Amino acid sequence: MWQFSLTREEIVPANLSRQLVNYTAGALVTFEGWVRNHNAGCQVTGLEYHIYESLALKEGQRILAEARERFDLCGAVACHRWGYLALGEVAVWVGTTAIHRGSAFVATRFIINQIKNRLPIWKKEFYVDQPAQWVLCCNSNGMAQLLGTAQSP
Amino acid sequence: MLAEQANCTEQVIQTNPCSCAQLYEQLQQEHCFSLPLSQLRVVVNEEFTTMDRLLQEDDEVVFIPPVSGG
Repeated sequence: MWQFSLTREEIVPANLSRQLVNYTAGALVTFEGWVRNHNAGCQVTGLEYHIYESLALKEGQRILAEARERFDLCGAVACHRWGYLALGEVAVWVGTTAIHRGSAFVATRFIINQIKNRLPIWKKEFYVDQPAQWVLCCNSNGMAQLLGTAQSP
Repeated sequence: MLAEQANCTEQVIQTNPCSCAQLYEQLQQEHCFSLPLSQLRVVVNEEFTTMDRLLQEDDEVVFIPPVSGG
């Protein structure tokens, strides 16, 4: 199974990993991105993802195709959510299967890094005590920069 | 965020022949976009391209701010 998808609905990891069941695979490595309650010293109450859907779908499919070329995998599934997400919800899910764990570990990391760097998706953070802000792409340390005050939803 | 600043998600424009960069400069003046051209990428007809690409009639142009998925 090779599938990239976008959804406004809740991501249910068990449903996605079930799609990867394959008796030739000896390893499944998954990554879940969660909405956390803080960023850059601010108390976060939720996130809203905006998306350029047609391009995001194409780019996501390209990323999985690249992973398929580069790594020795049995399958890969990835899903990114958009719209408003509350704390603790799953924003992105990636899973890869392989005969041995090494390929699955590196491929899952590759796919989530490419998703964060390339997918045309934008994140607005909402805070306890200040106006919402757009967040820039994460740098190599995984730390996001704040872009500036956003208009109220 | 550009959509918020322009208060619209898309716009039909009649313009003299120009590049993507020149189009952004026009739009930046019109809508007071805060992002400089250097922070943007551009997509024409659903394919990434360069800012110096000359636009043709009926091209669909999307300016892409720094992304923040995940």
